[in-house]
Amino acid sequence: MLFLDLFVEGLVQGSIYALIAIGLTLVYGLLRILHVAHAGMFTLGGYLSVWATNASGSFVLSLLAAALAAGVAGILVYRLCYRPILHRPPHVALIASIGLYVGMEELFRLFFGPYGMSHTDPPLSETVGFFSMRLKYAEIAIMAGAVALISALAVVVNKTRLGMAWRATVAEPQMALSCGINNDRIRDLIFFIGSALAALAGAMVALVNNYAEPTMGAVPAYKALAIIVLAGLGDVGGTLLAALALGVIESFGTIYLGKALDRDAIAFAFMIVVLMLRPRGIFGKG
Amino acid sequence: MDYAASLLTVAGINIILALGLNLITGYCGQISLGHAAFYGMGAYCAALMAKAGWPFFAVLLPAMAVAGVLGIVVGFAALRVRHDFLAITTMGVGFLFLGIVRQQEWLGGEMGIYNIPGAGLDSTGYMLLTLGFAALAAALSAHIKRSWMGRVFNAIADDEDAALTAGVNVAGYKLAAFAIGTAMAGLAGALYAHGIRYVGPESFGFVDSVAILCMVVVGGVGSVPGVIAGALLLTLLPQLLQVVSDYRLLLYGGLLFLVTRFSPGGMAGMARAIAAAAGRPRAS
Amino acid sequence: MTALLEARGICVSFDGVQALQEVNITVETGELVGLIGPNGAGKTTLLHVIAGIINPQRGDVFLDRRSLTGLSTDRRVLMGLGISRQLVRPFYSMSVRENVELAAGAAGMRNPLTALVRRNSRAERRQSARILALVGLEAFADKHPGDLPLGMRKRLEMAKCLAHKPRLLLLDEPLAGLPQTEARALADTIARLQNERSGIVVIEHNLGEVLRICSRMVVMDNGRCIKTGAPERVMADARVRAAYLGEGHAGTG
Ligand SMILES: Nc1ncnc2c1ncn2[C@@H]1O[C@H](COP(=O)(O)OP(=O)(O)O)[C@@H](O)[C@H]1O
Ligand SMILES: [Mg+2]
Repeated sequence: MLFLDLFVEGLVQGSIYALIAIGLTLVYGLLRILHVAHAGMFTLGGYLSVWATNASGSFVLSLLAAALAAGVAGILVYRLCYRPILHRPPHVALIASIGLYVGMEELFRLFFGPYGMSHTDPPLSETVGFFSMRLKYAEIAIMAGAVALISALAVVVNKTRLGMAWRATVAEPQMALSCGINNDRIRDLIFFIGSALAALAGAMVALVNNYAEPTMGAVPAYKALAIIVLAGLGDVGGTLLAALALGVIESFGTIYLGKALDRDAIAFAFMIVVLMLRPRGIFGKG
Repeated sequence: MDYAASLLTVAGINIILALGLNLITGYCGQISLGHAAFYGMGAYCAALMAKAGWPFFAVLLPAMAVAGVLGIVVGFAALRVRHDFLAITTMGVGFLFLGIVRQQEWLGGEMGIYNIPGAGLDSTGYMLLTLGFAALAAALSAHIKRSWMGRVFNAIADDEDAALTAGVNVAGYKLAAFAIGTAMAGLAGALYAHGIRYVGPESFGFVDSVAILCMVVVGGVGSVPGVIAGALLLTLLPQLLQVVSDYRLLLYGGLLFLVTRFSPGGMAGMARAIAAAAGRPRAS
Repeated sequence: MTALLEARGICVSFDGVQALQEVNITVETGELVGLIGPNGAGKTTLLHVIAGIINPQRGDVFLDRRSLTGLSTDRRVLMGLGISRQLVRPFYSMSVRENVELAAGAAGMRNPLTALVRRNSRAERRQSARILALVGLEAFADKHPGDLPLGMRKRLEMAKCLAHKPRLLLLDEPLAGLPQTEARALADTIARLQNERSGIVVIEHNLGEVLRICSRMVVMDNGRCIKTGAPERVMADARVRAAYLGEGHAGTG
């Protein structure tokens, strides 16, 4: 059952990508910024959850705390970093964001030390048999958590006023701006939600690997960019599909293409091929 | 003396790299987050050829050609995708380059290629040679800026669609920008391979692309003296101050962020602003 | 007379919305064609198809009997199209003169390598001076487009088109947003540009001015050409009146 193994492994990885990428898509839809520093929230979530679990003994409470703290950090990033440069050409924000992320990685290193941090008593580390595989409870929790969170988000995007405002901004940026639909309150909320989701993803990765380290966000950061670009920028459903697809393609790719390309290269090769065929992404218009 | 010479050699290499990226991103407005891939392409090409017994000067042109050809291929991608899509595509090219190099035995895999023959010059001679090439790159950049090509690049960076309706051969010029800029990176790569006498994948990653971009942005996008100053500053500062060296990435990241946030014209922009402020009271 | 421009059976759809359905249009040399129709009729889309800015799902465009299908916009410009788009887009980083010089030099500088060894621009300078005089912009030659009022930027847009000595000039709402006196002056300038060897297509909502200067009208509605002919005859047509009235009732365009 190698096929099933690979498929499930890909879905687990894809769920993590999805949780990160969805925040990026939300931000992109609203502000047209490729928010690389988003991965900093992922790392922050990983560290905070490990630290808080060790301190308090409650994993669930730590998750909530990590999400909350990252959400607030997200709002600060918007207010302090992006809002002042929104009127400038889009690559300016992208470059600032890369700078911010590279700087954040270093700050994590300074603050938490270079060697990473582990759970003293890792929660959900038992495994369970599933066909021929053994899955950690943590891995199952990742998938279930991702499905639950993303479904909740889908409801938010499709049913609430916030979601309506977001969709209106994606469809008609100019209009939304001049009607005041796309205002600071909406942006704060979007940054809060997106960053909280990224932090949860970080917490889950730290849980599965039982390890949080300064650079844990790097690869997901660039992969998540590839994913939202693949999906066509600003498309929540498309991002979810692209994230899962990328997870699965990577896990098969490492087996069948591993001799020629490493895992990251497979992801980007896939992205480049898709972009050459569809320059505005799989689900992008035009 | 040896230390100073090797430091200036690295500075010269970085100047060539930054000027090449400045041509693509600064002049022609095509953002590239994968410049280190072309640098690596030149370095690996030079390393392999030098190991095969080719003399130093015979290696330079092929290294530039190989990087330039890859640059044209990526340039063709730039014809299909724009803006954010281009930024991420070029970033992907960087990861793809590393991913391929890491898995190839004949390129040394993770270990890289050791014991590359030197150029047959002492360290001072090699430094002078590198700085000479950097001066050539600067002269070429300045010439392009004043030539008709510079004007057309300017127009494309300003508004690509308007350039098309003005009858400009946008595709041709974009490819030219990528070809020249990446060939310069190839030259820098060849100089690196012969100077350090070792090439390995860890020198040509995303962080290195960001570092080159940082030199351009901190110096002043589009400005030749600015970019040279940026490359010098970001090469020498971490070397001269041990404190800075420990936090090199924090410096890069922080500067990228602070400059884009507060002084979008970089050092060149600041210099212009200061000159204007100094000039105004006299003029009035 | 041979057709200068011929577009046959053009079909375009955006996300399943049919923006152009089997549109045919011809322009003869010496004509100044007014292309009118309510908002959303597909006029701009048709111009974009002719200019090669969007590719139609079906249909072909010929200029002087040569097919333009598959050619990029810049090639079409060099073959004799002058394209002035609805939203003016000068190069804001250059002066007015340099804007026009750039367009004037584009044909001779197709090869980037020739541009690399080229420093002086005497020929382009002379030509741009001539064109700036033609559209009434001499006084603004050294200004930056960002400092010009809208009317002057529209003239600059036209000057950039004229730099290539186009056989067919395509103008998308050149008068929109201008006060009546300026609109009238610019319409006069457009009428002066017309000659026996070339043609002009003007998309315009300012009916009074189009009627005054054009030699023939084409009316579009809902992605189709519904009527063409002499201005008075077209305006008397019941279907044309209905299309315009319909727009009034529908509200937004
Ligand atoms: N890029 C586009 N994407 C989707 N729909 C478009 C696009 N451009 C035009 N349309 C639609 O095509 C129709 C024709 O538009 P247009 O050619 O701009 O009309 P006009 O210039 O006559 O006012 C309209 O319904 C418009 O909404
Ligand atoms: Mg229109």
